[in-house]
Amino acid sequence: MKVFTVSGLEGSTLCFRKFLNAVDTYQADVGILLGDLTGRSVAAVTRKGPSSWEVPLNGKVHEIDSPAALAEVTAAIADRGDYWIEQTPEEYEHTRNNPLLVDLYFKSLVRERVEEWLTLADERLGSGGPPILVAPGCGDWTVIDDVLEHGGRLTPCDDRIVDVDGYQVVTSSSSGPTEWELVREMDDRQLHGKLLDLCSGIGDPDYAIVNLQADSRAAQRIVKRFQPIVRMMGTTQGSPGGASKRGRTLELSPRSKLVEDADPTLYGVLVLLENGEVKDYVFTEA
Amino acid sequence: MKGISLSSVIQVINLERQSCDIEAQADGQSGQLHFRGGTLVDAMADGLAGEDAAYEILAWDDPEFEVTTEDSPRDRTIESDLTKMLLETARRQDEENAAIDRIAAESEAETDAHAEVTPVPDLDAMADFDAVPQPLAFTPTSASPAAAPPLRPVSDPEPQSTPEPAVRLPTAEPVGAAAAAAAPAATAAAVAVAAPVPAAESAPAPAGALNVASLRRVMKIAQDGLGDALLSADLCSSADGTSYVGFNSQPAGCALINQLTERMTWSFERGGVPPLGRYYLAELAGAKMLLVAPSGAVHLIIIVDSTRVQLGLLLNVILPEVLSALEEVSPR
Repeated sequence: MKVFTVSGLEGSTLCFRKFLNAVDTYQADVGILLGDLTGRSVAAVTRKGPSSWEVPLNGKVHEIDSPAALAEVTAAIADRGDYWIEQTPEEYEHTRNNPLLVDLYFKSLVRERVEEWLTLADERLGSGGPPILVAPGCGDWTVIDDVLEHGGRLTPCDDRIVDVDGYQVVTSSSSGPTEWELVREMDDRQLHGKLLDLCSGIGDPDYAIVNLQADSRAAQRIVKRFQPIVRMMGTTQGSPGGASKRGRTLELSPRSKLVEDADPTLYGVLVLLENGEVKDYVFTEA
Repeated sequence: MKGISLSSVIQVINLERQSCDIEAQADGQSGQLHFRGGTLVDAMADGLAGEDAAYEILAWDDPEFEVTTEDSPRDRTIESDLTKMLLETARRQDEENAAIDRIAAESEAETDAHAEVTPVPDLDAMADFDAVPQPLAFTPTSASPAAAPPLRPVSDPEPQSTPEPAVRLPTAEPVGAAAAAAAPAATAAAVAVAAPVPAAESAPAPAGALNVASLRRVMKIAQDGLGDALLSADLCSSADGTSYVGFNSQPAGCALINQLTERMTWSFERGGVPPLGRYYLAELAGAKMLLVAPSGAVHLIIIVDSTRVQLGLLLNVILPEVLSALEEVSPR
């Protein structure tokens, strides 16, 4: 079985489109899309007149003077993983001074982007083709969870075991403590208990692929105990990724895209499994 | 504010249990949604209140809106669960879209079928069309007054029990998916019924001799009279709403408005109010006006820009001329 896994698209619509194409291009038997799925910033597009806008992009403020040019710029913003909102200067001031509104709009945009992706996946993939599993990352707000649960062509896989071609894919978006105080993090003991419950459903570890978030003591203990054939790990922003062994488990972490990358690269890993063994793997860039 | 949808904002408010007021606007309409602790407790929109107002706002296409955080207590007028309301709104929109697609496909199929079996008629040849009476399929609304003509769910069309006309009148305008946008939604702010006629007279006339050239003459009178105030016009079958002759034709709108007219006729009859007269008017959002004139086997459906024509001129000068021409072609 050929498994293609990517993580950390960080809101990039361009990377998501690349992922959908890559599953087909690499002739994967299953695609796995792990978090973080969502981006980190919102560009405030300020409406200065009926056909003029100011848009911050790549550290500069751009003057835009046509709807077509605006559409181009906002598409570029979405491609790199950021969000945008168009407001009058008064609306912008009102929003900026109200943290609750900032939070509300940001989360709404995040949710909307995920909905757009799912629609795109439905359109591009139709009903055929290999299964594609999706789960949020520990840095993703929970407002996307119910959207992913009704994922249409994509199969939600967070906090559960999904069977694919005789292999068990075990995924959890929960993480141990981090310096960023993420919404899905929990203390190590709590996380260990949760992962223990989840992984107790593993039958044959030779046929288990475990997707756990960036390293934590709890995750290490779980891997050591269950010894799945492969563990996929999320990585922090811009980390180089890599491969290592923990006991008999091959741990793989594809790179994640760089926030500042205007034309973001899709990093992934393609793993070939045969009869409960890893026959080969290769890190990919697209 | 643009770039963010009202639906997403509402769902996040609900998920995050926030307390906010939303002021929304679309096509000249405005409304408010009030959330407390994530629950939609109250709504108001253009004369509607509570759940009806909420459904109205949720159905608006891409509204502009402004959110203010507000935590003061508010009486609860909406008991329904927001998720259910959003699903119901989506269901209604899917149903509406499916109807539009279906009707557009049917219209396109009819146009294609006609193109296959009949050479495109030229206007000169049409002059002879009068000689051959063309039976038109229609459902006499007075045939069974006890049974309401059902307002058919658009995804579940009523089977066509009446025979198809032996020869279909050709449509003047290409009717296809591109022309399938539904007519603007009526706000029902104003419905005027003119010149009641006896019930016996309101039934469609028996099949008569219709021809496209005559219908085009009616259309030309309407176009000449209304000029650039005329946004769209269709002369369509009273049986199924199929457009015979159109200007910026609205095939989906014709089919749905045809159902509405049928229902209205039945309701007036059952409700003990005078029957529908020569026409009715509805004020639409965005300073537009819908005018429907049922005349026997043909209905005239037009949408005008009410900022470009005076009502008095429309009702007293242009409309009588158009109706007179229409009734010559298709007597009431």
